[in-house]
Order: sequence, then structure tokens, then C-alpha cells
Amino acid sequence: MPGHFRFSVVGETIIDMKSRLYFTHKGTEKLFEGREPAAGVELAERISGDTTIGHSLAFCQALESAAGIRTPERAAYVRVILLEMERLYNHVADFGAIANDTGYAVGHSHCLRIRERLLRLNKRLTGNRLLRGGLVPGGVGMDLPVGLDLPAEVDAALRDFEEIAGLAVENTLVLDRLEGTGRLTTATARDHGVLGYVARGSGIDTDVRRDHPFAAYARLSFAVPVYDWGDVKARTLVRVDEARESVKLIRQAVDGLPAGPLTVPLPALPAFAPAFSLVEGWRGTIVHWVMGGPDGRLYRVKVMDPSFLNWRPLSYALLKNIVPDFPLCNKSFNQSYSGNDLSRGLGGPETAPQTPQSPDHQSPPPRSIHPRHTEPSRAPR
Amino acid sequence: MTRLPQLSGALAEELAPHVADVRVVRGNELHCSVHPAAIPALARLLRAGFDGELIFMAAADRRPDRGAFEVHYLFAPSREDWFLHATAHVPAEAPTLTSLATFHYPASRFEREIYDLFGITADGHPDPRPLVRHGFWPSDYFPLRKDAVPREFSDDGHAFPFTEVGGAGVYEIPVGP
Repeated sequence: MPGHFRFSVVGETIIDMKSRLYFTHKGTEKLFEGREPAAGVELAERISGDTTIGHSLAFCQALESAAGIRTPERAAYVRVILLEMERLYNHVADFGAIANDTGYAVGHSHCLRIRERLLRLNKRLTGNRLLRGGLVPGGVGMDLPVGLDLPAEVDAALRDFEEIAGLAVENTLVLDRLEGTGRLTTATARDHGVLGYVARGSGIDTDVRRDHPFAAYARLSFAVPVYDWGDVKARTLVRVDEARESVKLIRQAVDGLPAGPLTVPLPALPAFAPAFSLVEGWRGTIVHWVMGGPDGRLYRVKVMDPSFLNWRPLSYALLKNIVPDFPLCNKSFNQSYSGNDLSRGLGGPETAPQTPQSPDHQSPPPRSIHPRHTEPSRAPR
Repeated sequence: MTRLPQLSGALAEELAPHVADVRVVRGNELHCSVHPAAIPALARLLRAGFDGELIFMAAADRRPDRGAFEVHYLFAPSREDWFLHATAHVPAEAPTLTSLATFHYPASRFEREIYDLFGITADGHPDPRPLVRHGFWPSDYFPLRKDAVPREFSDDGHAFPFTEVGGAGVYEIPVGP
């Protein structure tokens, strides 16, 4: 776990929590520099391993904007499908992890099973369980496979998930842990500029799929769920609702998939003319900003994962909660270490990464800090 | 986008000559250059008149080709689909911005990151502690500068303590590295 959390506690009540991040110095932004634009995609896919499509889509769109091209319509629809597949498997996994931290382990087991089912679908779609290789600048890396009834497959996975989610949220023991826990007020959320399901769980109605439409979202219909309670329950239910919307979007995109090419060529980037792109990844708004150099290579790439703004307010959500609820609160945020720490330059010659790292880099929760698990030497008196 | 002509007019009327080179790019983006000292005025105008808030900042080291750093500010409204992309040219010697930290909290995070990686100071920042800097980096090492050369780093013994919370019955639980 590349993050340090320092709790100040009275009895079991958290009165302050300071997080110290940026322990990993992957040099991601520096590694983009000097690359051919198309060679940045594999790097973007690895910014946060659970957000392959979110980050590579933001990167490709920024390149396309800089070069002044639009992708073919068919590619725009396939991009929607891939981004929603990514949202779906992550929301299912997060729901399970939240259930697990309430002690509802059976819900977690089933969500892992459903996640696996979705990852296998990802593999059928792109050849990769984490959807790598799905996108290229100017379009998509592959067409939908022949003979796969994707809407039927995701419908079935959703029914499976809804049954598990229903059992969990109707269980009073689970609900008791979710309701009122880890409350982030709308005012604090707004002050911090929070993004994604953390924002939508705190009453902030934001989603760049609707507000700054990209790919084919302007041609598709979907709802943006918002809950104003600001607690773990709100962030959990936003995910359940969004999983439903993802399945609706996938069905619409498959049904409405236009004929035509999958890519257009990416012209050379103009020198020193910046361009940017916003994508609503599963965790929230992702921004990529690119600038080409005089040689047509990447001169500067700046990446923002929503975790950059969402980590800090976790400290506020924890105030007055009890220590055993920290894992639950943290899971309901589930911010990315990798996506947050990424940008940074080289940490020194001995640590300078030569290749992208971390094959499956989900942000793991801190280990349980229930007092009975605390090291004896650290035990409070 | 319908509001861009209005915004363009407001920039010319209220912020010239500190905001210049205003042009529409790709239909819904208004690009401009802004004097580093006029950034707060620009942010205030966007918030007050256009529901526009800062969503992103990016610095770039343009010293090799134009002898200055650039800091780019991206503003967007909450409901309409347009952007303002403002570029501040920051002199290579004593590079300084006027901080937006007390106006908009997320700016404080971007500004700390930009100092750590480029050595561009945010003037008026109330809390300019390191954010992304590795504790072992020398104080003059800014890794995203084009002339940054990685070298051997080691612990300089400089501590970066956590704020201590005191009082009867308060104890700490440290978790992680």
C-alpha cells in the first residue's frame, strides 16, 4: 500500500486523519515526453490499471483534438461500449468490497464472481481482461466480435449483480454500517472540487458524459444518479444505479452501432498547440492535456486522475467516525494510488522506470486497522 | 457556443491588456494569454459572470524555444459545454504565479504540484508545503524541467513531520509505510 495514513483518535473516534501519498514515483508524465504520439497510448493504459479505457480515451481524444480530427461514428460507439464495460466491472467489484467491509462476505464473493464474468467478456471484446489495446488514436483497436450477444451478456451479469446488491442493501446489518457513515457534506465536497461518484454521492450533479459530451454520448440516453446524503450508502447506491445505466448504454450503443470504418489516420501534431480532453471514467472526471513538439513528438503531457482531488476530502468524511469504519469509508471512495502519484518526474537513477509498471494496479485498501489487529507496540494505552 | 462571444467581449473590456490573443479554437474553446498577475481577476470574472470554475492546471517548460515557462489554466462552467484555456507566460528567472489557492481550493493543489515539479512559485499561497516531491530530492531538483538531470539522491535528514494532535486521551494510529 503506497500511502501512509495517520489517525488521531480518542477512544474509537477519529478526530483527525492525515494521509501522505506520492510514495510511488513512476515518472509517468516524463515518460510521455519524446514519444511518438501513438506510443503514448500504452503508457496511458497503465496510469491506473483499473482505468485502462478512461485514461487511454482521454489521451487519444486529446491527440485527436490537437490534430484536428474526428473519429468515425462506429469508433465513437465502440468507445462508449468499452468505457461502460470498464465502469461496470469496477462498480461491481467496489460494491463487493464495500459489502465485505461490513462483514457481508458472501456479497463480496459473488461480486468477485460477477467481476470475473465481466473480465472474461472484456477479453472476448479486446483480447485483454483489462481492455488494453481497445483504443488507438483516431479510433478503436478492434471491431465487436462476431457472434457475441453483448447486450444479453451484460444484461445477465446485471441481473446477477442486482440480486446480490438487493440482498445486501436489504440486510439491516449491512445497512446499519452504510447509513450515516463517512459523511462528506455537499459544501465540503464542493470546496474540494470532488469528482465522480464521490461528488454524486454528496449531492453534486456532475458528469462530463452529459456536461461535455464525448464519443457518442450525445446520441445516447442515460440518467445521472445523484444522492445528497454524502455517506457510504450514497456512494454505494450511485454505483448500483450507474451499473444499470452502463448496461442501458451498452445496449443502445450495440443496437445503434453505425457501419463504417473503425479508424482515421492521426495527422502530425502541430508544434506547441495545446489540446485537452475530458472523460468521465468510472471513478470520475479524467483530464489529459497534450502539447506536441517541433519534431511531432510529445513535448508535454499532463494527466489528472480524479483521485488527485478526491483523496483529500476522505479525511473530512472520516471525522467523528469510529476507527473500524475507516476501511468501509475508504472503500466507498476507492481512490487510485497509481493515478494520483503518477505524474512526477524520475525519482533518481536507481529508480528511474524504463517501462510502464503494474499489470493490475487497483488501489488496494489499507490493511484493516481494527484495534485488535494493531501491532502490540502501537497499541493505544 | 453562445456564451463565447460574451466572454470574449468581457475579457477585452475588463481585462485588456492583461488578457490578450483571445481566439475561438475548435468551436467551444476560447483560448487566450493572461499576465501571471491577472489570473485572480480572470478567475473572479469567470465565476461571477459565467459560472466558470478552474478545473485543471498544467505547466510546461518552454525555456528551450521561447525562454519562459507556461502555466495553462482550464476553466469550465458546470452546465454548458465550453472551456476557457488561458496561458500565462512565466519568466525563466524567478518564475512566479499569483496564487488562486484562497479563491479556489483545488488550485492550491495544482500550484503545489507545479512548484514541486517545475519550481514555479505561487505567490500568496498560504500552504506551500511539498505535495508530490520525494523527500530525498535536492531543493533545486525540479524533474519536469527539460534540463533536469537525475542524480543520486539520499536522505538529507530534513524531516517532514505530521501535525501532532494533542489533548487528554488522544492517541495516534499510523498505517502504511
